[in-house]
Amino acid sequence: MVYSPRTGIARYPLQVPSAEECRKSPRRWQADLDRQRRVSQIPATDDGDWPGGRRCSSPLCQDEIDATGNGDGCLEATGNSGPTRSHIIRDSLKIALNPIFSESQCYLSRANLMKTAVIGAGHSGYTIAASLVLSGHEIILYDMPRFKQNLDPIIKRGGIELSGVAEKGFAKIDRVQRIWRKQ
Amino acid sequence: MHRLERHHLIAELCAPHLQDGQIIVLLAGNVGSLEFAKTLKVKHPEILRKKDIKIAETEGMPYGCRRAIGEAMTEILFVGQRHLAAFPAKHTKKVIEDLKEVFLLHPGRNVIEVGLSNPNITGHVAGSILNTGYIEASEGSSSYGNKE
Repeated sequence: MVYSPRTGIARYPLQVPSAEECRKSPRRWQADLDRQRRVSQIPATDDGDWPGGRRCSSPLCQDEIDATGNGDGCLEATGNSGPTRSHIIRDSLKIALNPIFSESQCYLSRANLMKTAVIGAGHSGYTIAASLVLSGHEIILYDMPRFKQNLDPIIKRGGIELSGVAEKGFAKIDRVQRIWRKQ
Repeated sequence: MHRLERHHLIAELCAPHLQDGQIIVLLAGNVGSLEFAKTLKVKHPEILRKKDIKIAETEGMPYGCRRAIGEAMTEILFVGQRHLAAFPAKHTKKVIEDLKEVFLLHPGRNVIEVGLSNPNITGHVAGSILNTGYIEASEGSSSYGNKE
C-alpha cells in the first residue's frame, strides 16, 4: 500500500500515467490531474474535479474556510503558517483513494505537522526542504556563510522548484538563514 | 572510510539552540551521530542531561536527488526506503514513530550498522571512476553528476 512516495501512507501512483493508461483507469487520471494542478498552481473549481468528488473535511480545514471567509479557504491556503494546498490535496486523495482512511485520521495527519530546521543547502538540503514544504511542514533552511551561493537563488526566487518522480511543485520558503557566526 | 569533518562543528553551533523534545536526524549519518553525541556530551553536558534530545541517522537520503547548480531547482530521481537508527538505540522505535509521516523508514540495529550500510560508499565511487575523463577535462570545476 503506497500513497506518498516518501511515507507510503496510502495509495498513490508514483509515475505519471500515459494517455492510454488514463483512458483505462479514470482514478489514475484524476490523480494525474491533481499533480498537474500542483505544478501549474491552478485552483480546483468544484468538488467534482477532486478524486472521488470529495474535499478534505477535517476540522482544521473547516477552520481555514472560516478564517478566509470565502467558503473555499482551505483549498487556497498557502504559506508556512497553515495547511498548504498540496497537503489539502494529499489528504483529499488519502480519503478518496483509500477507504480505510477516515476523516479523523486525516485530522491527525495535519496535527502532526512539524517545524523542521534543514541544515545544509546542497543537493539533499534543497530536496528535503522543498519536499517538506510541499507536504505542509514548516521549515527553516540554514547554511554556512561560505556557501551563500547556494542560498542566493532561493532568496531571489522565494522558494525551490521541485520536480522528478515524487512530489512536484514550487515550494515557497519564507525563512532562509545563512549567518550563524562570523568565520 | 567515513569522513566526519563537520559534524562536531554543526553540533557546537546547534547546541545553544536545542530545545526539549527535539529530534536531530542526520541524512545520511555516516556514523556522525556518535560524533554529534560526543560533542554534546563533552562540551555541553547539561543539554543531554536536562533536555530530551534524540539523535538519529539514516543510511542514506530517502531519495536520490540532483540540484540544478545556480538555480532554485531540484529534482527527485528515485525514492527509496531507508533504515534509521538512534543513538542510543533504545530511541530508534520512538524516532521512527515520530517521523512516520515524513519518511518511509525501517529500524536499524544501531548507528554503526546503519552508517556502514550507506549505499553512497559504493555507488558514488563507481560513478566517479566511470566519469574520470569528464571530471578531469573540467579541471576540477565539475564533479560526477554535476554538469555546469
